[in-house]
Amino acid sequence: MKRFLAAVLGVFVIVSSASLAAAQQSGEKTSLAKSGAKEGKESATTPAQRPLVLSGSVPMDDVKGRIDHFASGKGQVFISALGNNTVEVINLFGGIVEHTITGVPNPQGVAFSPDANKLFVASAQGKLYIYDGDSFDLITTLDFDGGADNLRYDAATKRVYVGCGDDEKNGAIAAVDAMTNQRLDEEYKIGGEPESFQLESSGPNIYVNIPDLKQIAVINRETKKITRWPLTGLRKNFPMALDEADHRLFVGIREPARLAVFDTTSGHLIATLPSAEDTDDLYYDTEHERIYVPGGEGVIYVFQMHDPDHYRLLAKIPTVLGARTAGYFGRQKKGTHRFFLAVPARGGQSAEMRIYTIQE
Amino acid sequence: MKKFIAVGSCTLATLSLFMMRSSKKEVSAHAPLGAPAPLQLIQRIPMPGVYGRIDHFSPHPNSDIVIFAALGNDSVEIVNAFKGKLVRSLKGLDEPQGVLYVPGFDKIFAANAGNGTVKVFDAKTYAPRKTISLGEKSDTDNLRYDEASKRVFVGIVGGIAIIDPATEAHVGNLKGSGGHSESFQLEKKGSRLFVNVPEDGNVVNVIDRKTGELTKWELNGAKGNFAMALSENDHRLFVATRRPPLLIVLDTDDGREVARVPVVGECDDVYFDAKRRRVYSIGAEGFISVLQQNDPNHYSLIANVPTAVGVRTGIFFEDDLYVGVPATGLEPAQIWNYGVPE
Repeated sequence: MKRFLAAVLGVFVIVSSASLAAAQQSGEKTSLAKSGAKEGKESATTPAQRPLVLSGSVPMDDVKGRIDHFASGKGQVFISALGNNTVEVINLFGGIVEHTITGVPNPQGVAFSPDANKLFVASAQGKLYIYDGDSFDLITTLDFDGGADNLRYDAATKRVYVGCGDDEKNGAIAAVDAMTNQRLDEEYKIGGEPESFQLESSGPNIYVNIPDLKQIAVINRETKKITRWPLTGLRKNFPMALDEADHRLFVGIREPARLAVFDTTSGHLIATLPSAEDTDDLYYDTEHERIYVPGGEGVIYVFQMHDPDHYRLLAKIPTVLGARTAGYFGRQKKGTHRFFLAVPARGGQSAEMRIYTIQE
Repeated sequence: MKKFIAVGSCTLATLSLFMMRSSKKEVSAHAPLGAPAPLQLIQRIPMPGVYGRIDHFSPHPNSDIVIFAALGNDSVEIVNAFKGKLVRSLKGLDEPQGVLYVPGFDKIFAANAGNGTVKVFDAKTYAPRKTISLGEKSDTDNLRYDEASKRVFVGIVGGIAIIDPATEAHVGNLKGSGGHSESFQLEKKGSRLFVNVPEDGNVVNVIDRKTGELTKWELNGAKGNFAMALSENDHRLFVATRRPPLLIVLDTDDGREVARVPVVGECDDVYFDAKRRRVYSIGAEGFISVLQQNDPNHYSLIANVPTAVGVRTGIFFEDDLYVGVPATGLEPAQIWNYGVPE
């Protein structure tokens, strides 16, 4: 009898753990249905197992090919459809593509200036396109030798910073006055093609990934001095995010696939963690102190900061092969807090922008 | 032997739980063990030409008539579910969130978030009758009808606006505690109105329609309370929160929380099925959580019935549940009709 009892108990344990595993795999809640306020309150304070919940999708039926970077403004999300030579304007509230800007060859970076009510689009073919923020009529274009890639808007100076150039001679961070559409004298030659860069708002620095040089360049906009942080054992540093309050810079590395964390006060590497393969965007969520890293391998890595020196992988959210770029803009209208992922068209399925709701 | 039975039945219970949860597909097929799924998909009605987000639905005396606000499409759609087709599309709206058919007056009211108006249509001819402005920034949303007082209530920023459906005039306001009013429910046996106000610290506003007196009920740390349902007979208010995704049950006598159960994420509509004592929680995560009310203080999840990602709203009639499925790249928008098997 005892042996039988043990066997039954064994089955019980296996089945329970299988149940739990199945629940986790299927993305459902790990806490089972609970009745009674007391039990429920415990579940409400348990750490989230699913920091991102897929909760919607905006179809982009006519978009073919690679999708690059995101920007947002006025309840809209702007997506540069690099392989489609368009910029898609999505109305977030209505969940619909509201407008398609055509005639931009290989758009990469996008930036919106609420002050100027203008949309800036960087073309890999060497031009910056400037559009009216309501009609999306083209206002003007500016030339950039060696192509224009990432764009950042600096609200304090009303300038758009342009990552431009593709070699040691023309690689630079240039600046455009958003109000007058004029290219400014302010330009920083960095000795290589810039990838993602971030502007400090509480200080003068611009942090720039230069994978060709295996470096991060730190440009001081006041002294015009450039400091360089060499990368050791880490190659192909593409995306980047900045946590100014904690003096931390998060860098997405492709070889090997790592999240690298730097101390911006010293340039020291604080932590490296295995991360998503083929990453091209990376965001820091100040509210939850989390880092989101979408990767073309078909996954979003979510890291949790414990303190500025300690991080752990919170979740790996399966997505779609090739979904490597995303948008995250903090809390929006009605307190919504979402993460947007570009899914390119694949095998008979249209391109889409997936909407993930950020959980506590 | 008794011990064995106890352990055995425990195993059986866990097994059935395992089967319920092993995959979303199986959930509907097996929950609870041996019984039919609590919701069965009967038909999918295509909505050609309807794009973008689908928002709220309207009750109607005829359960075959499904009316919903196609927010992203700037239209209200009228569907005959018996015939399985779209009957009429009311165009020219501006981000409609709520829609309401008012029996007796035979009018349709549509709340336009885009310009803060409520537009009134004749429900026979579908001709527009009047546009009532409640303020450009009022964010007009949910609509409810009170048969007794013959008034239409509109959820707006800062409270609830009242419209007389006869004269189609804005006749008053009920002041809330601040922030946008999400789903709300009216008592029939009493004079209170319950409103979800996530923007004011995630509270429920309890407003007396006669005196205007306002009380706030807290949700003990749960945030994002959008959807709401009421069971007056049980004195229970069902509030769906999004962070974390819970169904919270409050005692309407004193606002005390009596239960909370994990449900589908990103819920935007919740209904109480008085006949079967069940709660249906529709969430954009892609399923409908079906809860059984064991007694007014105890609820258990009996199934998570699969829908599709992005399906967040619907309407429950006595034996039918309809949900709005937004268009994808391959398929038009659809209304999915679930039946409730006996």
